[in-house]
Amino acid sequence: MSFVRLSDITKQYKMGDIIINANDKVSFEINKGEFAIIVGPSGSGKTTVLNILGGMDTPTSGKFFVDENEISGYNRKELISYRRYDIGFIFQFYNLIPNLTAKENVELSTRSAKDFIPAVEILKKVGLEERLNNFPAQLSGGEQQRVAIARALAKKPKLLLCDEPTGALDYNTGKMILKLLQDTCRNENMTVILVTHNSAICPMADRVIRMKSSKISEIEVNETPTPVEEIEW
Amino acid sequence: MKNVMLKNTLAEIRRTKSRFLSIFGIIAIGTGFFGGLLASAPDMRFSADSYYDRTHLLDYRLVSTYGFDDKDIEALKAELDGATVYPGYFTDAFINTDSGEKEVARVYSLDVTGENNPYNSLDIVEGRLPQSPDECIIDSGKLVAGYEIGDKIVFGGDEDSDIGDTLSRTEYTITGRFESSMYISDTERGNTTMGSGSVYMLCYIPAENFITDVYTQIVITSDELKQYNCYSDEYEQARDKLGDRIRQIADRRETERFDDIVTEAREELADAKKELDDAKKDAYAEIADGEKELADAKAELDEAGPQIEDARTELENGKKELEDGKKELDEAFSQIEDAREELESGKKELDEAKAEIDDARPQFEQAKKELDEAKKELDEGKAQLDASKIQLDENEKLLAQTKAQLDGAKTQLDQTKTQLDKTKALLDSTAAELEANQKTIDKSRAELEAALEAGYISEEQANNELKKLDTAQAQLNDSKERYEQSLVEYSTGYALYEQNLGQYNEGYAEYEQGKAQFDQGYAQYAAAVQKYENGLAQYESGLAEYEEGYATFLEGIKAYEEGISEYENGKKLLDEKYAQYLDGVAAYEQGVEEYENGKAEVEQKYAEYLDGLTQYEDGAKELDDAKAEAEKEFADAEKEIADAEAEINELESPEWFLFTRDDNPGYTEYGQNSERIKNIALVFPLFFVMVAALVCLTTMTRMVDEQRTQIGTLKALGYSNAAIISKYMIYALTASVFGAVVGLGVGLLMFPAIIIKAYAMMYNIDDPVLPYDFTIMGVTTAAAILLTVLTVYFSCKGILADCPASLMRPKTPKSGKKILLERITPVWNRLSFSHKVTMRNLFRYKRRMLMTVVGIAGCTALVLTGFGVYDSINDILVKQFDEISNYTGIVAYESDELESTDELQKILSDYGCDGKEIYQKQISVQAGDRPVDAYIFSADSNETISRFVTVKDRFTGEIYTVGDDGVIINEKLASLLGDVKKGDSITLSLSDTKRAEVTVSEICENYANHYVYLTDALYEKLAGSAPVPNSCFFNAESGDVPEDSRNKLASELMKIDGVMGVSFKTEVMGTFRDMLKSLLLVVVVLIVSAGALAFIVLYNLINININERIREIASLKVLGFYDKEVSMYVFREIILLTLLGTAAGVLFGRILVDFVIRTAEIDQVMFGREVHLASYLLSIAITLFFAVIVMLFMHKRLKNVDMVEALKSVE
Repeated sequence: MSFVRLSDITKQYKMGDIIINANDKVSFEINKGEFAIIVGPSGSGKTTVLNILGGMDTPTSGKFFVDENEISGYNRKELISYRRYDIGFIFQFYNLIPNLTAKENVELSTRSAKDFIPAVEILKKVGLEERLNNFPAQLSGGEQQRVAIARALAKKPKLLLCDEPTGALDYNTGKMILKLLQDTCRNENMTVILVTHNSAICPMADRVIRMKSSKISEIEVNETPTPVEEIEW
Repeated sequence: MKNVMLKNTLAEIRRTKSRFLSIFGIIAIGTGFFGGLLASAPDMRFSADSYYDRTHLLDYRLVSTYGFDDKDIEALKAELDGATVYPGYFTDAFINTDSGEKEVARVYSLDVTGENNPYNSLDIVEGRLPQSPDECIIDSGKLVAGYEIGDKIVFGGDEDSDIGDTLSRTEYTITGRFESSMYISDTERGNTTMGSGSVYMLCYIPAENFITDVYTQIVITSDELKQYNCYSDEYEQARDKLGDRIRQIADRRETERFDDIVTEAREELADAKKELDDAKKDAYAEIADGEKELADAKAELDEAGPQIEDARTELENGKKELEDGKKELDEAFSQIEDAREELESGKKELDEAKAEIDDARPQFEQAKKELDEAKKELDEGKAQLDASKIQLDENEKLLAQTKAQLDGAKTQLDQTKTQLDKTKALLDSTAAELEANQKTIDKSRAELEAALEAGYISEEQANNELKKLDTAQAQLNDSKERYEQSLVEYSTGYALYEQNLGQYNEGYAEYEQGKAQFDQGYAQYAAAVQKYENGLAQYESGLAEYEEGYATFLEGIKAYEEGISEYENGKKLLDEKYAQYLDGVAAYEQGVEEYENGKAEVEQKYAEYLDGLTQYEDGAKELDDAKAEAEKEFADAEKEIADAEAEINELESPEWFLFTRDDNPGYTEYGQNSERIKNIALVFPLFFVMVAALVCLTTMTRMVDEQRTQIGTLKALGYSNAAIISKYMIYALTASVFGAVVGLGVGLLMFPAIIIKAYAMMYNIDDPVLPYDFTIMGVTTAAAILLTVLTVYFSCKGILADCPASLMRPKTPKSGKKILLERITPVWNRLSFSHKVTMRNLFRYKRRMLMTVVGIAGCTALVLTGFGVYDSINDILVKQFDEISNYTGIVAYESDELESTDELQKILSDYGCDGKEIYQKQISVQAGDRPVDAYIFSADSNETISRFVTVKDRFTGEIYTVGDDGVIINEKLASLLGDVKKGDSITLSLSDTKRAEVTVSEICENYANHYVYLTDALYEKLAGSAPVPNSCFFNAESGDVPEDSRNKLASELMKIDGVMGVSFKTEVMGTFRDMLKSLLLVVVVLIVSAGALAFIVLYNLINININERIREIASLKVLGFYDKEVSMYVFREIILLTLLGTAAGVLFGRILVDFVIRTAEIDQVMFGREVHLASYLLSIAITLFFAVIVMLFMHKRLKNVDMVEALKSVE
C-alpha cells in the first residue's frame, strides 16, 4: 500500500462566472521514503496539489490518503492537527518569522510537537550551529532556507513538502539545499515531495510526476536516482 | 497625467474600502463629537433664544412702590421707541389645593383684546385662553398637575390684605394650561412674600377683574433686543442700554409723580386748615353767650339762699321743743307699761296656781280611796296565811311520827338479817365437813377391797374393818339428816325476812311522797307571806306620801287667795295713771302737726332753690364740655393737619424696580448650565482629535509602506514628489472631508439635541433649534483637513526621500532585534516561549504600541471622566447636604430684625424643630485683586455653628472650631481668592463703609456657595457693632420635617411679621437631583462616544497589525497553530497593551476629571474632588469590554485568513 495516495483530486476555483480547474482528477501514489518530484510549467496546478497534500487547501472532489488516513475527509480542526504533526512545509520564500531568531523559529514548530528533534541539534545538522541566535534578516537566503528545513524536520513529519525550495536561491546554494533534502530522505527514510518547474533536477527523484494543464501527464519511476552532486543545470 | 492619477486614486479607494472607511470613520467621529459638543452650548442658548423671541419674552418688567398711572405709561410709550410697553396687573393670592394645603398663586392680567398683552403668544398646551371674565388659564408645570380644565379656583387673601381690594371676582374656571417663557423651569415659580414664600401656580385672568386704580406692572419688550442671542454679552449690553433709558424715564417719572402727589396733598391740606379756622371762630362766639346767661341766673340764686336759711332755723327751734315733750311722754308711758307688765305677770302666776290647785284635788281623793282598798286586801291575805300555817304544822308533826316507826322496823330487819347470815355460814361449813368425811370413808373402803383382793389381809380382818367403816357411815348419814333439817329452817326464816323488808320499803316510799307534798305546800306559803309583806310596806309609804302632799296643798290654797286681793288693788292704781298719759300724748301730736306744716313750706322753697342751682350748674358744665370738646376737636384737627403735613414732608418718592430676564426663575440657571456644557465641550473633543490624528497617521503610513514599490515605479517613471504625494493627499482628504461632512452633519444635530433634550426635562424650552454653525463647521473641517495633510505628509516624507532604486526593492523586512529585556537574563529565561515572542513583538512596532496605549488610555480616561464628573456633582449633593449642612431648614427675616422670636420658636417646636438665630449676609471678600462674593455666617458660638454646619477639613476630616481670633473660610473661596492659606489675612467688606482685615484660621470643606464662618464676638470686633441675626436655622429632632407638614410649617412661619421666607434642605436637594439627572445623560453620551473611540482605535490597530503580519500569521497556520493559538499570538500583545493603556487611562482620567471639574465648575460651587472606586472599576470594565468585543471580531477575521493566498503574494 502506498504511503501517499491521491485519487481523482479535483480543485476548482470560481472567478466570477468562470470555473477554473486547478487540478483535474489528479491521481498518483507515492511510497514511503520516496523522493518525489512534481514538475510542470507555471500554472499547471502542481502547487495546488502540494497545498492540498499539505492540508492548506481542500480538494473540491476526490480523495487522498496519507499513511492510510483519509485526509480529504478531515475537518478544519483535524487539518490543523495534520499540519501540526504530520507535515513539514518548505517554501520558496522561506516564510520565517522575522522577529524570531533561527533557533526560535525552529522552536516555534517543536514547541507543540509530540516527538521532535531539539532545535539546536537539528540546526547543527543543517550546518547552522554558528547562526542559532541570528534573526532571519541577518541570514543569507540559503541559510534562511536551511532554517526553514530545520523547522520542518524538527517535528519529525510524515511528509516533507517543498514548494520550489530553490527558486530564490543561486545555483550552488540551491544545489546544497537539494542535497540536504535528498540526504534527509535517504538517511531518515523521509517521504519528500518537491514541486518545481525545473525538470533538470528530476533525475534525483525516485518518482517524477509530470503535470500539464491541471492534469497528470506522466508518472515516471526512476529506479536509480542520481545524486544531486552529479546533476548539472 | 492628472487624470490618470485621479483614476488611480479612485481605484485605490475602491480597492481599499476598509482603510478608507477607517479614516472616514475616525474623522467623522472626531469632528462629529468635537463639533457637536462645541455647538451644544450655543445651540442650547439658541434654542432658548428662539423660544424667547417667539414668545416675546419680556426684556424688562417694571414694578413700582406706587403702581403706575397713565402718565407713566404714556411717558414710557412715547419715549421708548422700538420697545413695546404693556401695562398690566398682577397680584399674589392664596388658593387651596386638593390636598388641603394653602398655596400661593401669582395672578397676572390678560388683556382679552390682545392689545395690552405681551402674552398673546403664551403657549397654550391644553385648552384655550380665557374669554369671559370668570375664566382663567393656569401653567402646565409639574406642581399643579392635579388641576384639570373645568375645575374652579378660588383666590383668597390673608390677614393683611383683602383680595377683594384687588380683584372684583375671586372664583374662576380653568379653561386651559400654558407654558411661558418667563418660567422655563418646570418647578420654579419664583418667590413671594405670602404663604410658604414660594409661588405654586401661575394664572392669567382677564384684566377687567383687576380693580386697582393703578397698574401693578409694566412689561417691556424690545424688537431691537430680539436680534441678539439672549445669553450673549451683546444682548446684555443692549439690554442695559435700554435699561438706562428706562431708568432715566423712571427717575423723571418718580419725581413728577411724587410732585403730583405732594401738590395735591398740600392743596387738600390748605383747605382743611381754612375750614378749621372758620369753625373755631363760630364756636368761640357761642360759648361767650352761654357764659353771660349763666352769670344772671347765679345772682338770683344767691339772694334766695339766706331767706330759706332763716325759716329753717325757726323751724328747728320748734322742733326741739316738741322733741323734749315727746321724750317726757315716752318716759311716762314706759313707766306705765312696766307697772302693767308686772301686774300682768303676777296675775298670770296666780292663775297658774289656781289651775294647779284644781288639778291636785281629785288626785288626792283618788289616792285616798286606793289606799283604803289596799289596806282591806292586805288584811284578808293575812288571815288566810295564818290558817295555812296551822295546817302545815300539823302535817309536819304527822310525818315525823311515820318516820320514827319506819326507822324502828328497819333496825329489826337488819338484826334478822345478821342472824340469818351467821346460820348460813355454819351450814355451809357443815356441808363441807360432811363431804370430806364421805370421801375418807369411800377411800378406805376402796383400799380395803384392794388389799383383800391382793391378799394382804385376811377376809376377816377385812370384814372387821368393813364393819367399822359401816358404822362411820351410819354416823355420817345422821349428821347429814340433821344438816338438812337445819337448812330448811334457815330457808323459812329467810323468806319471812324478805317479806318484812318489802313491807318496810313500801312504807318508806309513802313517807317520802308525803314529805315532798309538805315541802311544796310550805314553799307556797312562804312565798305568799313575802308578797304580803311587800304589799304592806308599799301601802305604808303611799299613805305617808299622801298625807304630806295634802298638807302642802292646803297651804297653796291659802297663798293664792292672798295674791288675788293684792292684784286687784294694783290694777286700779294703774288705770288712773294711764288716763293722765293719754292726755299728754294728744297735746304733743297737735304740736307735731304744726311743725310739719312749717317744715313742708320751707322744704318746697328749698327744692325750688336747688332746682335753680342744678340748672345753673348743668348749664355751666355743658358750656365747659362744649368748650373742651371744641378745643379737643380743634387740637385733633390741628394734629391731623400737622401729621398730614409731616407725612407730605416725609412722603417718599415712588420707586420703580426694573427686573430683567435674569430675575425670571430658571433663566440664569439655564444659562449657567449651557456654560457648563461649553466648558466640558472644550476639553473632551481634544482627545478625539488626538486619537483621530494617530489613527490617520498609522493608516496612511501603512498604506504608503504597502505601496512602496508602486511609488518607486512612479518615481522612476519621472513623477514628481508632489504628484505622487497628491495621490495620498487626495485619498486622505477625500476620506476626511467626507468624514467631516458626515460627522458634523450628524454630530451637530445629535449631540446638541441630546443635551438640550436632557435639559428639557427641567426646562420647557421649545424643541431644539440646531442651526449649522458655519464657524464651528469651518473650524472643525479645517482642523480635520490640516490633520490629514499633516499625517499624509509625515507618512510619505521618509519614502519620498528615498531613491527609486531602493524603493523598487522590497522593503528590508524590519529586522528582528534583541530587546532590552533579553539582556536581563534571569527574567527573560523565566518567560515562556510565547511570552518571549510577545515581548519581542511588543517592542518591534513601537509606534503602534504607543498608539494602542494612547487610544485605550483615552477611552478609559473619557469613560472615567464621565463617571468622575457625575461622582463629583453627586458628591455635592451627598457631601454638602448630608455631611456638611446639618440643618433642616432656614427661616429668613424680612428686615434685619424680627420683633420677637418667641412665636417663631414656638411654631418650630410645635413641629419638633429647634431653631437658633444666625447672621448671614452676602458680602465681598478680597485678598488679592479679585473680590469674591461670599456669605458671612456669624453665630454666637462655635456650638451653634457646628449644630448646623460641619466645619471640617476635606482630607483629614478634622473638625475645626470657630474661634474669636480668626475666620474659617471654605476651600473654593480660598482658591478663588488666590490660594489663600491658613494664617493669611483677607479683607471683608462688612458694609459699604466698613472694611475689616481678618486672619484665616482654617480652611474648610464646602461645595455650594462660599462661607466665612466667624463668631459674633469677632464680628463685633471687626464691624464695631454686634451682628443682628437675620435668619433662623433649625433642626428637626426627627432629622427632617415630614413632607406633608412642610408646607404647613412654612406658611405658619410666613404669617409671622418680618419673616421673609422659609426653605428646607430637602427641597433644595430635589432641585439638585433634577440637575444630576440631565447630567447623567451627558455622561452616557461621553461613555458611548468613548466606547466608539476605543472600538475604532482598537479595530484599526489590530487590523493594521494583521495586515502587516499576514504572512507571519499564514506561516503560523501552516505550522499547524490552532485558531486560538494564532489569535493569542496576536492578541497577547494587544491584551498587554490594553491593560497598559487602561492603567495609563485611569491615571490620565483622574487628571482629566480634575481638569474638567475645575473648568466646568462655576465660581459659586465646588464640585466633589473624589472619583469613586466604582467609577474606576466601571471605566476599566467598559474599556476591557470594548477591547474584548474588538478581539472577538478579529478572532473571526484571523480564522479566515487564507494561508495559500497570503503566502503567494510576494513582498
